Amino acid sequence: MAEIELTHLHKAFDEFVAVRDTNLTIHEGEFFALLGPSGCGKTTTLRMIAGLEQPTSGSIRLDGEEVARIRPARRDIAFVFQLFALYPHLNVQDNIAYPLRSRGVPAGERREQVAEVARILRIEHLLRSRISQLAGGDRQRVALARAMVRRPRAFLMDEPLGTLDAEMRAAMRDELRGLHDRIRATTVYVTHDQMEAMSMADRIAVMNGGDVLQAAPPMELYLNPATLFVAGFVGSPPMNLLEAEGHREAGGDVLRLRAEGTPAVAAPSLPGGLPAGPLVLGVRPEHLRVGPEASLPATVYGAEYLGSHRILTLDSPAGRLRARVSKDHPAQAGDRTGIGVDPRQAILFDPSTGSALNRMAGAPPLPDAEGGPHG
Amino acid sequence: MSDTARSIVEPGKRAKRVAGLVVAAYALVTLIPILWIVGTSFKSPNDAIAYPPKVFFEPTLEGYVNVFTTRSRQSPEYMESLPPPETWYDKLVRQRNMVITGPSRFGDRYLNSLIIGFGSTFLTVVLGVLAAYAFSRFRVPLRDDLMFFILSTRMFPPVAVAIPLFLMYRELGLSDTHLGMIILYTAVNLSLAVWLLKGFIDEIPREYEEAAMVDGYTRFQAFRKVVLPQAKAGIAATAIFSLIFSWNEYNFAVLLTSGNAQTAPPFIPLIIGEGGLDWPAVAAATTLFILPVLLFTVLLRKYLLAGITFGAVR
Ligand SMILES: Nc1ncnc2c1ncn2[C@@H]1O[C@H](COP(=O)(O)OP(=O)(O)O)[C@@H](O)[C@H]1O
Ligand SMILES: [Mg+2]
Repeated sequence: MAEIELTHLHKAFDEFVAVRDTNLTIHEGEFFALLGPSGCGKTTTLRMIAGLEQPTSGSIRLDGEEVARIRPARRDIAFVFQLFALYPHLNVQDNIAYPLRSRGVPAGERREQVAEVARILRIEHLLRSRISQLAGGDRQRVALARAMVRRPRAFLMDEPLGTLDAEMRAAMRDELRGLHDRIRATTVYVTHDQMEAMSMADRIAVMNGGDVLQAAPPMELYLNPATLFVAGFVGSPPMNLLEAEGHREAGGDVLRLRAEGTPAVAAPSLPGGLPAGPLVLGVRPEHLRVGPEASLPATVYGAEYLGSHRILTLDSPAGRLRARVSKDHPAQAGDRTGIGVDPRQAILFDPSTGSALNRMAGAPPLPDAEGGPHG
Repeated sequence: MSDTARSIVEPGKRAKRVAGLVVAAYALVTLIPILWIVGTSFKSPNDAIAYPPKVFFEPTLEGYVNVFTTRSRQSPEYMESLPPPETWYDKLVRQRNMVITGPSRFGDRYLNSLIIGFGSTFLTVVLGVLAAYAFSRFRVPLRDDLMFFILSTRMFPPVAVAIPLFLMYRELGLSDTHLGMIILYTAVNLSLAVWLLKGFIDEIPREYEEAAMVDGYTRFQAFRKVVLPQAKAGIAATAIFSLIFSWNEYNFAVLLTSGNAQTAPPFIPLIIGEGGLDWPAVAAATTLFILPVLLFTVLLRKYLLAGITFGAVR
């Protein structure tokens, strides 16, 4: 098992920068997710780690060893492809044994090792089947078995659940995480599905447009998004982002929403005081207070009942907001009500840079600067 | 399938029957000349030119004997003086007051055709699949321009380059050599081969060879053990097209070969018997000439069909 360290890793296709000057350290035994919208450079990053793509510049270290210029086979990393890349002309047994064969492992040993991973993944009964006979989930298990069989230093997975149906995905998600907890292999997992990343990963790096915007444990990412993009991408429904303006007045700093006729909102306390000028106020749906006593007037546009709670869609002069309220909350579509923001549970962003200006007051302190694996 | 639940995708019974008839008629039209040639090769010279044409005749191997031998006519007295014939073909020839004086040049020409045809086919496939792989997988500078340029070599009639080629080959000492003909046919076939094979290789998901590379192969090993087996159908199709072209090619063979490297096509029409063309011999040579391509195609057919059903499993 290995630590993977990317420093100033950069990849350009002609003029187009796919991955920009990336620095990341993936700890030994960590389940690390690369999360971002399609085309943000996740796959390219993963392919560079695997050696399938040459970085334009920068370094990739595996346990301190520089590997950026050596060929994939020498890196001893396994890659699980989105399409599984199983050979249709071989049966399950031979597919799993393939990496061993290409490394010249003798037949007897091959059989033993295949039997062992098949046992771990509970696919022993499938060893004689043809790939085309397998259901999606089983194909995924075979692809994992093939990756695991030679005990690589790290696993790279590119949207491995992307082609499965929703039900299968949820099941495989638990299975993958369970597997990781047993074998503790360093894993880099690429996905565009924030739920998947949040539910599985020890740490998540959120990417957009070739940049890594934030690398942090899921909870930190959720409570303290470092940028507007992260705030909008992580969480479902995402963080409410309200355009606001800071005013430094004699009586103290005042934060006002951009919209006409809205009351001043209590501002989170910033170390250097509230900056004057445009700001964005971010509040998670569960941190909005909804009730007639709250100061920002709003109309309930829609109300979804989700069993354990309700999601209200509210129209206010500051725009459309989503609030997560208890399942017993009385609001109905069409009701006139109010919205309140608790400044300790809000984050201010600088709209010109997109960066967050404060941390949420209630958030737990970071485990350590880098954020090690939890569990 | 009942009439009430007829699929709109599956052709109906009547359509299938019509299609079958059309195919059968087409097969008949294309097969008749070939059957006629095979028939003629077993006729005697008189039967071959009989009018009205003979459909039923007494078969003889004279045509085949004549293709492979040179003979001379002798006086009846001389024939009398000969010891009894040792072989069936001696006997056959003597019936016409002739004796075999030696082998003909057909064997050499046939061998030339085999060397040049299969040699250029082999070279075409090897170079074609490497070039196609590179075009398909690597960021080749000016890729689209190069692909077009390669195709453009097929846009003019071959005659257009006859004279420059003739001069070039004379200066380079490639005229009438096996190597010269192999290079020429490879150059002509390569454009089709690269286009055809690139199409097939584009269809093979890169992940297959990338998985193999991550798992321990070098790129070349992955190419050989993963890409080539999956490109079988394309390779078989390319090989068949290449062989058919270089095997049948006539114009350049006439222009550039005479003695040493002459292939069968320019030779066959010149097989002269007594009183003009020896039609049974020409037919025999043609029949023998058809066989290798026929066998090659039949042998590779299973790869062609296998290729069609080899979809990527996702
Ligand atoms: N071989 C390539 N040539 C040119 N552009 C590429 C190549 N591979 C990826 N890209 C571009 O790089 C960007 C990032 O791609 P990718 O890493 O596959 O994104 P993701 O996996 O996050 O969806 C995309 O805009 C894609 O078009
Ligand atoms: Mg991708």
